[in-house]
Amino acid sequence: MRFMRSYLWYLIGLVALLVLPQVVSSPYIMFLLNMAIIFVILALGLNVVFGMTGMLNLASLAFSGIGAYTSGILAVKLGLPFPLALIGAVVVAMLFGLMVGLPTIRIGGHYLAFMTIAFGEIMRLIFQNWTPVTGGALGLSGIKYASIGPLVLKTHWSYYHLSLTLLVIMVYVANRIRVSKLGRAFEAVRGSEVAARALGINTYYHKVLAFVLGAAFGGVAGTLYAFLMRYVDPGTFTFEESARVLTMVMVGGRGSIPGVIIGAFLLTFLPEWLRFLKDYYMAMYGLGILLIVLFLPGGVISLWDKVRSRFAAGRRAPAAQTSAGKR
Amino acid sequence: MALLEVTRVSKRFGGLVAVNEVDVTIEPGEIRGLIGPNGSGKSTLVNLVSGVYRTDGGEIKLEGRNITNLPAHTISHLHVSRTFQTIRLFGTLSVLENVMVGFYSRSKTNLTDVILNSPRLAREEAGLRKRAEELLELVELKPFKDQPGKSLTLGRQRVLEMARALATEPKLLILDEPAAGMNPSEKEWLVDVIRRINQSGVSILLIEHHMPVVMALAKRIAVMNFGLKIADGVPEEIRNNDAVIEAYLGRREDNAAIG
Ligand SMILES: Nc1ncnc2c1ncn2[C@@H]1O[C@H](COP(=O)(O)OP(=O)(O)OP(=O)(O)O)[C@@H](O)[C@H]1O
Ligand SMILES: [Mg+2]
Repeated sequence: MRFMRSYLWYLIGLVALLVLPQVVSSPYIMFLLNMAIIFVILALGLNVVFGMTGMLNLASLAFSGIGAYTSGILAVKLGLPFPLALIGAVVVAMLFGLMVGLPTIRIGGHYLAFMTIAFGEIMRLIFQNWTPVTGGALGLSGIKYASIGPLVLKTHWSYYHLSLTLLVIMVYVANRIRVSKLGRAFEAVRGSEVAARALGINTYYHKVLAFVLGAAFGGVAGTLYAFLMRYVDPGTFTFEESARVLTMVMVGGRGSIPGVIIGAFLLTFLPEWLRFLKDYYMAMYGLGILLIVLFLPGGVISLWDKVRSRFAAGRRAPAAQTSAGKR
Repeated sequence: MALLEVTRVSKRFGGLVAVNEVDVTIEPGEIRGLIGPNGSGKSTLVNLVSGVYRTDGGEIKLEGRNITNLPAHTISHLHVSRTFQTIRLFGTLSVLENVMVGFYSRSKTNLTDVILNSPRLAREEAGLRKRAEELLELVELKPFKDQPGKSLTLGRQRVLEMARALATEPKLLILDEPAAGMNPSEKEWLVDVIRRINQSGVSILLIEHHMPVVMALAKRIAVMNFGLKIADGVPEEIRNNDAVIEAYLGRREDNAAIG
């Protein structure tokens, strides 16, 4: 019953996202919607790594960069169509996840966060300087419009349907991970590694697995980005942007998939809405995030949990019992 | 053959010998007591047996098989499970989900099943859910199954850790001070639950400060002090053992001096 209800909300969200392009007339807003979806996918990946498993990865954008360059190169140099470029990008991103995860997760703890920052910087330097392959500082250009079979997606509107399709798939995958035994194992690692091990969970293996799965989300997001821009710029994949993805997870609600989706949309559009503030913009933006993190440690989604448990309290006696089971 | 055989096991932390050549055996089906003043090395011994720490000497055998210094998750696979002196529940999971984590390593489904939500996985999940409810029933926590684990009272959290450990199908269950922080009626309940678990065929190593609890349950009790095992025998012997009395009295004087 509770399952039905949570799927109902996903369905309502999907219908809203399907209707949205009918009412949007500005290509810029359409572009932002595509970007929001890309950020949702990135945030869902970080949610597996950080939200569920508790590992602070500050190189989300490095993995999307690997995805963007891989798919871009596959498209430009080998002429592969979008679906094949996507698969290639996901595989390469996962391989990088494995390569980075194996040694750094062994060390673990706070070092992991530092190592991921270092990895992000190394990747940025590679994107920028490995000119024969990545196009160097000038970036990688010449990516053709994405096409699915005979369908060529030339506008932000048509591309949006591709983004949305991948979003639905990735939300489904993230949700499968969350509600299954795998999600419980990840949450156990986050809760107490010692206890998880005592219950027979190989924590090292599962942390690496979470990292590799997170990298796959980066690969998908990067591919969507490369074909949206049809150009890959090395300046895109910065630490600041990775920190923004982390903020999306925190503001939305760490561990909660609906929360992370809301967080990513909010933080993609908020800067646009706050533009009228001009010079004060950064201060207001920072203050807003600070307030949310301080007073809503469960993210904006926890507001909803509170409202719902109020309602439940009205209907039956023991209130606020379902929030842990749901996330 | 003994279920667990600990032979001359040691653990040092810098200059401190936390466990000093300790011998302990546990027979199948038994409830074994382990007592000793604060800092005597009981929890360290548990951590050595369960693979949290590496030993600095000695040997640990389970049913004749050497398990010394195996990784903690492997020791769990070999049917040794434990609870923690400082409660380590999984804070984001419900009571039922906490127990279900214990089934994880014996699951027969893979990543593809998880992503595709295969019928095989759904069947397994339903079966495990039922089994978890049975375990919660055994420890009388079923009414709380959908609450966050951390919302339970301290006493119930300790018992939830026991149910979670039981999900790994242990032959040996190690309980590190299960009565800590419990009120008298909870302690009675605990004795009851431990007895029931033992009757279901699980051997138990019980570390406990509260004498009535240990005396009610354990047929044999080992006593540690400053890393050494200073006594081992039936409750009657332990009660009248001079070294044990001195260890506890000596500590009381320490406390008086400090306080
Ligand atoms: N990880 C560690 N690092 C350093 N010293 C430790 C560590 N763990 C335990 N010790 C020390 O080893 C000694 C034994 O500690 P242990 O926790 O095993 O005692 P205990 O018998 O379980 O005590 P209590 O009844 O208070 O739980 C203590 O002096 C403690 O300070
Ligand atoms: Mg202890």
